[in-house]
Amino acid sequence: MFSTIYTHEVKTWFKKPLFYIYAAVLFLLSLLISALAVGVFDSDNVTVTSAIKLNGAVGIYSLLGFFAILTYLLIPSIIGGTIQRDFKNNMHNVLYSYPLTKWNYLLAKFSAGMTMTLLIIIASLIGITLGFYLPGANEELVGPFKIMNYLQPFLVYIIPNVFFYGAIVFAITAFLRNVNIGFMFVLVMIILQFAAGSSVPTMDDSYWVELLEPTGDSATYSQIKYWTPEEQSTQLIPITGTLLYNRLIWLGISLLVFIGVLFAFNFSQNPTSLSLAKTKAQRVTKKNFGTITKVVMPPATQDLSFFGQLKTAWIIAKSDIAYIVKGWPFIIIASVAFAFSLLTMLITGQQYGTDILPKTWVMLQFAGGIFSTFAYLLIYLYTGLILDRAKAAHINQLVDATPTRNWTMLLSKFIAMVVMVATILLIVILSGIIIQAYNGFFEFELPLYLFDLYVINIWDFIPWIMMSLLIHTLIKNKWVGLIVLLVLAIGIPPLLGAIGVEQGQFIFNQGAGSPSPSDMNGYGSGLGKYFTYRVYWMLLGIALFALAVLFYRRGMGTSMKERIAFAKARLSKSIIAVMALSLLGFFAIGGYIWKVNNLDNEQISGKEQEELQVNYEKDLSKYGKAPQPRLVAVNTFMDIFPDTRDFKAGATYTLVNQTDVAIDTLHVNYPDRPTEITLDLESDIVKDFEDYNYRMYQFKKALQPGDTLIMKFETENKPNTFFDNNSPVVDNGTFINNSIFPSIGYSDQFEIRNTQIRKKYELAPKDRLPAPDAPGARDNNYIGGNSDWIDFEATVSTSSDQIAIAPGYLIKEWEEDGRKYFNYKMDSKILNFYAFLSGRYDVKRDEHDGVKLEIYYHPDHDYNVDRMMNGLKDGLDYYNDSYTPYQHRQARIIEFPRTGGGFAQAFPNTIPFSEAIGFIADVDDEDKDAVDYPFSITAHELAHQCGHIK
Amino acid sequence: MILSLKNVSKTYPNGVKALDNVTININAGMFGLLGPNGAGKSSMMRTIATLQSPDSGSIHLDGLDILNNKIEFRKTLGYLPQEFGVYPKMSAHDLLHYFASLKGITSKSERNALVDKALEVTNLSDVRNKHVAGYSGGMKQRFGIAQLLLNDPKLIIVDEPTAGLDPAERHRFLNVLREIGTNHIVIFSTHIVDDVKELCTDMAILNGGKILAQATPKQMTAALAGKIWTTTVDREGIEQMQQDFNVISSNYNEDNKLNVRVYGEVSPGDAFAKAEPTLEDVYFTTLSNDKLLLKLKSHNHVLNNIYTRSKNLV
Repeated sequence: MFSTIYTHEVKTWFKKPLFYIYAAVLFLLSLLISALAVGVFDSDNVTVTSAIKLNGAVGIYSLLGFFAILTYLLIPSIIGGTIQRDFKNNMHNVLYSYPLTKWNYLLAKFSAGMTMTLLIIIASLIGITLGFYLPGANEELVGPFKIMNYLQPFLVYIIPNVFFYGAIVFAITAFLRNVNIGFMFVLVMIILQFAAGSSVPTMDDSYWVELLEPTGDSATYSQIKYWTPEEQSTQLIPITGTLLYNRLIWLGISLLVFIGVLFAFNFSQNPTSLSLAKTKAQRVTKKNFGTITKVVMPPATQDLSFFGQLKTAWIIAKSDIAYIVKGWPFIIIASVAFAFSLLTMLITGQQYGTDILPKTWVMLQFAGGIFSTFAYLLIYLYTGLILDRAKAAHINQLVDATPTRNWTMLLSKFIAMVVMVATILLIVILSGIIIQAYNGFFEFELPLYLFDLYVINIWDFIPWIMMSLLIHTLIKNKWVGLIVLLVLAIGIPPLLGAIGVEQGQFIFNQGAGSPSPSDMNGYGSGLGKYFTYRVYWMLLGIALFALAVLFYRRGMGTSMKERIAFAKARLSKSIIAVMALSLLGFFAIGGYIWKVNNLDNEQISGKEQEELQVNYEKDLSKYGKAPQPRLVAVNTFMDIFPDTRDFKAGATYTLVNQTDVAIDTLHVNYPDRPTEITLDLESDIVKDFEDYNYRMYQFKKALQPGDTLIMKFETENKPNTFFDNNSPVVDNGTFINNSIFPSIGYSDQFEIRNTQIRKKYELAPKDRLPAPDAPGARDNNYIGGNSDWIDFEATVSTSSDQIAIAPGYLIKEWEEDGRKYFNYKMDSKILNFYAFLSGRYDVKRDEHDGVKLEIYYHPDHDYNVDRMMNGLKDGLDYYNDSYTPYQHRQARIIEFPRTGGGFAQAFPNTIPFSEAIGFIADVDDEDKDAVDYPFSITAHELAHQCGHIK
Repeated sequence: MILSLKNVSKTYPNGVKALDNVTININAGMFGLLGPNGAGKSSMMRTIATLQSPDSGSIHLDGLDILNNKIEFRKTLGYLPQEFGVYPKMSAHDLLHYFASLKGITSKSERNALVDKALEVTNLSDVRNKHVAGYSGGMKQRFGIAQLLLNDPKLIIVDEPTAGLDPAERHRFLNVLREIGTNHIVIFSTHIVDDVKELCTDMAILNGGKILAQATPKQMTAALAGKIWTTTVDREGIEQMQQDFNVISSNYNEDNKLNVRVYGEVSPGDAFAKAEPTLEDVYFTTLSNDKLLLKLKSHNHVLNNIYTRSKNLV
């Protein structure tokens, strides 16, 4: 009996295109990713390197793990589908009356489903293996073939995990007869798996997580986290400790679930009901026999005009919305996402054990990030479900025979999906506010929530909704549609990358990642670019939507040939017009983007960048030892224009030949923007490597030892446009350091460090850190290149509502032409490393042991200013005692927007400090383990200057 | 008002010829489409309802080419398929509003009036807030009628609506249909001869995708007047009788003998008595004959070519 059902099931699967589609997709994707990983596409792409051999057990385990996750998503449609099929075809009514034992029936069904799932994973494993041996694979990354490296991940992870997911999906399908809920379960488990994976590295004691995480990944991680690359390349994963227990526990749980199903399942014709309250039994009798009524219907005005249809689309969308939002799958997913974002906040919303204040942008980052992954998956899934909804309910003939137009039907699905996304975003707001309130933080910033999610973020989803509508319209089977969408979303970008397509405008819905807000600087200058890309993809989306209208499934099932004929018949003037206009707009904007990225600016691909670095080293490193004059003084000016985000700057460098030979050539690295350089010695430009922005001036008369050279330059940014930002200046909180200025001599900072890439390009091995007594190793200090301690003076100007800061003491402050000017001068020598800042600040001032202390902060960020002040004072006390006295009379902390980075950096008497750290820390003085990092970072940065330690 | 099909053919991918060059005119009134299971009734209904496209041929409603003006045509269409499901967890009231919207009725007050009336006519007002998915077969079928009424359709297509209904429900259902059928075209398919006999003003017999006969039920029976003979025979004698005569039907009676009806131009013998032809006789004769037996000129309702004699018939 068992074998009859089993062979029948397996044969049925082998006859289905679905199986081959799954297997083929997994195979090709695996082949692609594995080929990418071993550098098969290196000829068009950046060189791939890896510290470990990818075909070791660890390598196979991690590659296969990714595809296993994709396969878990298929389990509902394979293992669930195997049992669901009997319900769907109403076979169960007949079948359950046969003399089958349920053990045989269930075992056979389940084993068949398991077999098919494992076969698909084997297809993926074959793909991975083939990828290693494709021509062009980097031999460095592939070790000798060992069968155990493949068998171990398969036996230890894949089989038990498929069994686990399978058993639970099987239980859900057998009792609830709903494959969708099974799918949601798998989705939730995968997300929990990610959650565990991302939290384990930050946990001190992950023992319980290692035991309780069903896939064993966390346990594996702690087994191998301290392995050397050599061990990871050659050894099998040791099945001991928590990993062993984990495998046993979950195998046991899966077995229990499965045996539970075997016992609890009964061959009944109705699914187990989930409802908690039992409705009272009632006796129903028939009344009203044979009355005759006159049938005169009230007037019915059928409004099929454009606006009438819009109205209709909205009304029918509401039904789909209710179906989604009130459905269990959505509620489950939403609650899990909510719980997950709470969890993430608890675990990762900390720096050094101290919470950061749950500012709204923090909420948007954590909660928004989590929910957007869910949102995409729900879009891919639910477009299929609602397009198939009428058919699944067998109501399609009634619906299809109504006069509502195809575009109206499709528009209603589109509206439903947009509302679904909007609902998810609403949950983001709610969870954000709940987390904020839970932490006793009541600055909710509702307008920021609404703006970020409903004005900015939502447009990320819309092109994908349109793409999903098209895919699910073209592909009848919603599971195949889902996997096609997943491939489009996660398979195509690396594929395009593999063949060297890197520009966002050629990868669906990419370009200008999501702008993220800063308290100081809002969304900065990125919105113009962001919305340009969004409009660009929306226009393509509209064309996809129009295409979907042509192929919209209506009426009885038809062959592809008929559908194409229908589509031709449906190709009306208005559809052609919509398609033509949207594509015209798409190509127009695309052309503009391309022009800006490729003609107005130099587009350098990853591959070209790599080669540029190699050639830079090959062409120029010979000048590394060329004697150069050294920088001894800088007098600079920096005009910052926050309104237009422009700057204009310049400096006078005083250079002295401190060598004992005459120098006849000056080597200058100049910035890639309009820059005018003049020297006070007569010279010719003998070489100008424009690719490397490296220029050589030959003096008419060589610079003798001890002689001085004055170099002057002026530089300014290329004009900004709404799409193209060419300047580091921001509206509030500009932070620019002197790397934007020309520098002297060859710098090895630009050389490639990766050993494998160096080998590939036949570059000599590079010392990580030269020996202290190696010749030339101590010629330069750790920062600033060909320079010693310098004299420094700066004049910084900005708009009248801002304060501009540079290292040095404020000598003079004045207003001129509606702008503020600040002249700073240092009385002691400093390293050749300085910065310019400008913003609308509040200033807190204090004094400690004769050192003036100042904190320039964003007016809303006064939470920890006192702590930072204490950090400065305590730091001064400690360093003055332990090292050398602080060499400046003043120490300043200046806040800058988090979009500029999340760090603090020590410049002479000036410490720019990101708003993302310290300023918004939520220090708990009771907690001894938590670090008061507003205090400690402040103290750390101050230490950079006391005694000049690194 | 007239619906005319001209040379409509449809062959399914599996090779079944569901409609074979069907040409027929249908006027206002109740039109019964009679045929056995698999005759092509549903295919014809679905084709008229624009849910599937014929391979060839044309269909016009009062000059409107419906195959190329689907939306315009569907405005006037009420369609009840042979089998349909409903969205779970939706009440009759909500689902009817949903359909009214799909039918393009954008005014809420009009929708309310229409839904209320449809519920009243189909006697579902009491259970309007119950989930349709939980309805009995009869109630669900009445719901089907309610939804098709919502746009006050001119052409109504109901596909085997009485299958599976208990006698009371069936009566009720047919009465409602009849009420509607007075001013509109109601095309109504069935394999139950009695449904047609009781209700239809016009009918056709369809088998193997071909129209075998079209006339009023009365004309149909009149055509066989004086040609139906009946007798009673033992179980043992039936095989012989089937060889000798044109047996239309045979039914057991309570004496465990068989009542046999036979077709014949003249009396087949002394044992036979003359019988009034029934519609069932016409149906079975036509099916076994499988040739165009009767053709009614639909415009003047005059019987033309009352029948064509076939080889099989004496």
